[in-house]
Order: sequence, then structure tokens, then C-alpha cells
Amino acid sequence: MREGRRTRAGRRTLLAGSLALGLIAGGGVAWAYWTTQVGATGRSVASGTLDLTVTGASGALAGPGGTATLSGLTLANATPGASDAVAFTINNAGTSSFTPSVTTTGTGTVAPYLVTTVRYDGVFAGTTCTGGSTTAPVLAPGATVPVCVSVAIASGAPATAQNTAGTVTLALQAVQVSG
Amino acid sequence: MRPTTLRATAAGTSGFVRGVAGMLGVAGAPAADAYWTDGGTLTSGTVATWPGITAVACPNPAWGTNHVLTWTAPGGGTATVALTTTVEPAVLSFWTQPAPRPGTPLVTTGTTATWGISTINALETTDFRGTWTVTLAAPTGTWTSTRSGTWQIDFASSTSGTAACTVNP
Repeated sequence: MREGRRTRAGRRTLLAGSLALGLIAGGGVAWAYWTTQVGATGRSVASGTLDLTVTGASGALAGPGGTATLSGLTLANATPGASDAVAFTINNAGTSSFTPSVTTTGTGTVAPYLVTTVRYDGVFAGTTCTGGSTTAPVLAPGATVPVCVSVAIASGAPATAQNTAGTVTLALQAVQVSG
Repeated sequence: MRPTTLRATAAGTSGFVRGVAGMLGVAGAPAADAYWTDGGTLTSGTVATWPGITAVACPNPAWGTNHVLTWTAPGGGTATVALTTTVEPAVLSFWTQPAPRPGTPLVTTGTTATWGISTINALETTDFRGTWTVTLAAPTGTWTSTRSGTWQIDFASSTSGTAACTVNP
């Protein structure tokens, strides 16, 4: 009889132990979770653009950098005081506002005797520029500003300036305006 | 309260996008004071000054022919050619041209000057030597351009001798 009770009791103990082990072994169920994914579509991240272009030169300077010529700005057989001028337009073709600048540099043997002027919003008057300002305006996207550039032989140029030649280089720069 | 840090975000963007943008910002954005630039270069046509007198030539003339001085210059200027001589021709030797002569310069808008000395003296042996100067005034302003040289006519007889002309450097 005792042996029979022990047997039943042992079976209960074994069952309890098995359940416990089962719980422990199956404990992973407690850590399980469901997952799902949702795509974030329809949104984009894009930077702005800063693009200075010109109208009135041999090229537009579209995109970063670039070179073009202003063949309308020229002097031949020039004596002291002689001048020429040319007009072109700076455009803001990007999405960011910028302040343009035009810096002139003479090249060649004539360089020491050149006098140049840059007038933003200036008036092209054949061989000179009038009006406007020497300070460039801020250009919002899509905005433009006419620029008049003149070059002259210095009125006091010495005789050694005779028979010299060169060119005028205009370095254009657009600097982003924050905000 | 802790100060609030303002961050520029596009209206309506999700936190996820903002996070990506933030990461992009960290990875690629310039420093706080940096900025973008663009530019380019425009080059003018040729800018040249008045060249003055160029291509001056005064070849040695054949005996019995005039000296011929030539030069090149832009149009619109006026040139003056002046001569000096060590000996003035006399009655039996004379200038072949009215100008230029010493004291009588040639004023011209052209680019040539001619002079010479002839003689009817059968015993002529005079050496006529001197200088020439050509001065060109620019059409405007005060610039001038000057070149000079020497010339000579050495008579061995009334029908023979030597003639020469040089251009100073």
C-alpha cells in the first residue's frame, strides 16, 4: 500500500516537475513579440542649390564654376582716358539667396594702366557706366541684377604704356545669405 | 528652464525624417558659420593701347636715289619728320624734295618720308650726314611716339658715291 501511495505521489511530483520545467523551458514565450514594418514613403530629404548664372556673355556659367567671355568689352589703339563698357545680368538660378560680387583683374602688359568700374544696377552708356551702386544687392531665388563693367586707360598713363595689351578678368562669386 | 535649442525643420516632416535629416546634418553639414558659394570667370576681349610708331624702315638707298623712310602707325595720327645735316647743300648741290629739310619738317598723315641731295658740281665730294626723327602724335590725348636714325650721302664725284640710312634701336 505504501508503495502504491508512493507511486502516485511520485507521479504527481514528476508531473509537477515536468510542468515547472516546461514553464522554465518555455519561458521564451514570455519574451516573444510580434513585429511589423511600415515604410516611410512619400517623404524626401533634399538640399537647396546655389547657382549663379549670367546672361549676356558667351556662356551662362550654369552649375558650379565655369568660364565665359565678354567679347563686347574691348579696347584698341587706346590712349589715356579711352574707355569701353559692357553690360550683362547676374541671375540667381538656385534655391538659396546669395550676394553676388564681381572682382576685376587686369592681365598682360596693359594691366598696370587699367581702371575698371563695376556698377550693380548701373546704366550702360556705350563706353561708360553710370548710376547704380558699387554695392551688390542680395538676390533671392529667381532674382536678377544688371551689371555694367567699364575699363579705361588711366588718364595719367605714361608713354611706356604705349603698345601694351591684355585682358580684363571678372571673377564672379555668389555667397549664400543665411536665413 | 533649460534653454531651448532651435532647430530648422521642414514643416510636416516626420520624426523619422527629422532624425535622418539630423544625421545628415551631423554627417554633411558645414560648420555653423559655413556657407555655400558659386562663381565663375568672365574674360574680356583684347584691351590694347595705342602702339605708336612701329615697323620703321630706312633702307640704304641705291646711289642716286632718295632716302625713303617708312613706318607703320594707326590711322588718325599726324607724323612730323625732321632732318638735320652737317652740311647744307649749296647752289650746285640741292635737296631733291621740298620737305623734309633741316628747318622744314614734313608734316603728314601718311607713313612715308622721302629726301635726297643731288648735285651738278662735277667736282662734288661733300659728305652730307645727319639725323632723321619721326614723331607721331596720338589722335587723342598727349601721347607721342618718336623714332630716329641717321642718314648720309657721301659724294665721291658728281655721279658716284655711297648712301646709307640707319634706324636707332
